[in-house]
Amino acid sequence: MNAPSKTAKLSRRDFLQLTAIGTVGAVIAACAPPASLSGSGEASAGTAAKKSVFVFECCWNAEHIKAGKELYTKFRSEHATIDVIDFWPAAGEDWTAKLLAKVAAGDQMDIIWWCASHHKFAEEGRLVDLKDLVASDTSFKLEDYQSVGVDFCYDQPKRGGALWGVPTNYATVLLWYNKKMFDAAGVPYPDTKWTYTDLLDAAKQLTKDTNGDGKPDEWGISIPNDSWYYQPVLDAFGGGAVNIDEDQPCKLNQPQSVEALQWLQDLYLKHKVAPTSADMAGLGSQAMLISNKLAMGFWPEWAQFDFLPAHKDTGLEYGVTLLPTGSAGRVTNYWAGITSITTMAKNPEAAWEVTKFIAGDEYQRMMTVTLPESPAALIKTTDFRFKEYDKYPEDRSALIESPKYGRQYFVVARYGKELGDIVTPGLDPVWEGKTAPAAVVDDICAKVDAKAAELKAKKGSSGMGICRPCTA
Amino acid sequence: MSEKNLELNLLTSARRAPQPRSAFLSRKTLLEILRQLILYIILIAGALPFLFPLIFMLSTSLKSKGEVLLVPIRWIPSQIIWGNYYEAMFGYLPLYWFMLNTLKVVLGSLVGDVLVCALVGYAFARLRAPGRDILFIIVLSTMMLPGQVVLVPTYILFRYLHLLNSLWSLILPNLLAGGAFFIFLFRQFFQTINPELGDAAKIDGCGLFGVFWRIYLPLSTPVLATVAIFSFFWNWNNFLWPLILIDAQDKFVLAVGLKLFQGAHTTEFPLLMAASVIALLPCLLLFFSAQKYFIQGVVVSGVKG
Repeated sequence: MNAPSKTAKLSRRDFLQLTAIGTVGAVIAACAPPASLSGSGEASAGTAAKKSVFVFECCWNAEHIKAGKELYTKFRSEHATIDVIDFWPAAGEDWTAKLLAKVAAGDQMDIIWWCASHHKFAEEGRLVDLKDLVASDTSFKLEDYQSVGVDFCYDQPKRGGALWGVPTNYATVLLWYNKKMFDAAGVPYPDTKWTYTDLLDAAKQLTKDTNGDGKPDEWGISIPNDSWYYQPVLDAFGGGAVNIDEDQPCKLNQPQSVEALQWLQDLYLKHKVAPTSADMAGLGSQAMLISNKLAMGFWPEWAQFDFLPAHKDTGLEYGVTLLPTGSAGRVTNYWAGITSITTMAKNPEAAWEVTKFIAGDEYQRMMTVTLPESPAALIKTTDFRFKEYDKYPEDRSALIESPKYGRQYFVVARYGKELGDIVTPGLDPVWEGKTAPAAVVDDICAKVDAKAAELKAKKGSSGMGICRPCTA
Repeated sequence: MSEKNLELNLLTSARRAPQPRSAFLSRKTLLEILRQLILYIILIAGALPFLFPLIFMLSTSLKSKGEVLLVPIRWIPSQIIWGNYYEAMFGYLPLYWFMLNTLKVVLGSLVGDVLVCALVGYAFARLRAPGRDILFIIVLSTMMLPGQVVLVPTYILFRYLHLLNSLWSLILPNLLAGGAFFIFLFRQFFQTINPELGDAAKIDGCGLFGVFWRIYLPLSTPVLATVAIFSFFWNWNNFLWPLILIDAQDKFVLAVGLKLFQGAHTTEFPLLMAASVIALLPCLLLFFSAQKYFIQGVVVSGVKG
């Protein structure tokens, strides 16, 4: 008997059987209903006559998406000729990747509520200059928005050049404090008259070694080693970080900036009133304030949404005030969120209607007022939020006043990401206590200025930057 | 009986005679207990670091939002809020819906991964056709490409097929034997089965598919279980592809849906942890019920789930 071969030869019958199976499978696959293609990213049925407007939304949270969808439903019912197709990224830092993936795939995108920097799109000619649309629309006034937010929308300083969007939301930096710790130390609460000297004095009184091991267990102040938090200090001292609109953008090596950086470093190393990362042992500084281990900290408006539940659930008593004044006055950072129309928009007028809706009071009250997010840049919405909607802390006037002291945050300005990538690692040795600020700032500035010159010479070289509030 | 024999008998009896029960048992039992105790202490000490995140997750899932950030950590919440589970499942987000979507994807993919990949693996193992081995190498080479590399082309392909925003975009590649790794597993396993079994079945009147269905599949329980388990875990936890291919929230799968509990500035930690516990349960149940196959799978495939 011959040994059977290890592999059988395919007979004609077998081949036909396999072909039949394959064909049936392919037919089933091809006929498989593509589940439902409705939903975001697709026009709804019966909208052929309507002007479709695709919106790429910012990435706040699930409640925001829920409320946003309801608002768009309302918009559709009120605008018979416009069909809004809203797209909501899942969350967080995926925003930029998702946007770029859609652009790479050639997806239609008429409106973008920016989470990252809009400058790259502006430089590449992907955004519509809204100046004419704004000028011809009497129902829309840029004066209704926070001034620094409007500045941010223009291409050039002093509101020059194109208008790349309308202000939509914002964030600033404020001084939050734990009342219980102030009461225990007998230190008066911070107020709007405070200077940075007062802040340091209070921090010294509030820093305590409660268990006698020679190390503080309760800390006076936390100003995170992040440009978002230290830039206002540099500005208030009369210096600055980076201003891309100047010929030599880097301001870190100015004497006032060096003084401010030294003051910040001293908080950790000399006065030991601020916890280092090691002292925090992986905890967030907000968690430390909630746990009565930190008396003061710099945080944006959205800190309210960690502190307020702690107030309700654990009895945390806290307050908020403006940042202290320095030799150059009071300065806070201003992060501006704007909404733009892209040149892909087939119906710019319809897109403008939707843009106005997004930046308008009704939408913003729902999206950024009744939800735990940064408030709208529309002044009346901001006022409503902090005067009428919030009920704690008792004095919320700082939340309304803060934008008035806002200066543009350099990392979200043009080339901000690229220059920030030089500044941040450059200052790391300062925060690690390895060197004094004066020893590194000249080197950082040389690199920043060289990079800025290189980027300015090359059109379209802006990066997408970071989706700042989404990754904070 | 001689004296010698008597002595031997006595010795044997003495050997057979039971020792004083309490003394013998107590010493043996004590030693055994001690051994077990040391073993358990070592095992518990080793398991604790791995259990810590799970315990933290369970604890956080039962806390109020304000209590989550308190330091030192309150392992036992001051007020246990079971409602977080209901809120995570039906309130804040429709997690039940995401689970249902995930289940559809997992089951659909399971059919593809187990049956279709087995069919392809069988063909590569037992059928002779021109270019078979080259084709197999091409199939294997798809494993060398990182998923990120083919992300945009695949996205564009699915857009042409009008399958974006559809769960079919996640199921169809598996139904069309898209799992090169599973094909490889099946082929290798089928090659270990004696071909004479198939030949005998043919002599008895079995067709090509009959041989596969009646001979090869029943003999392939280990590899079938391995593929089924891996397919379940991979598809249950799949995040990147659903994130890219699915935009509409009503088509979200669990892994993407969980991300929605994380907001731009704040995270709904208690709800996120409750949702994570819920999402983890099917995996845990599958692992414990199919532990034998899971371990076998690791041995067969050389990879962890």
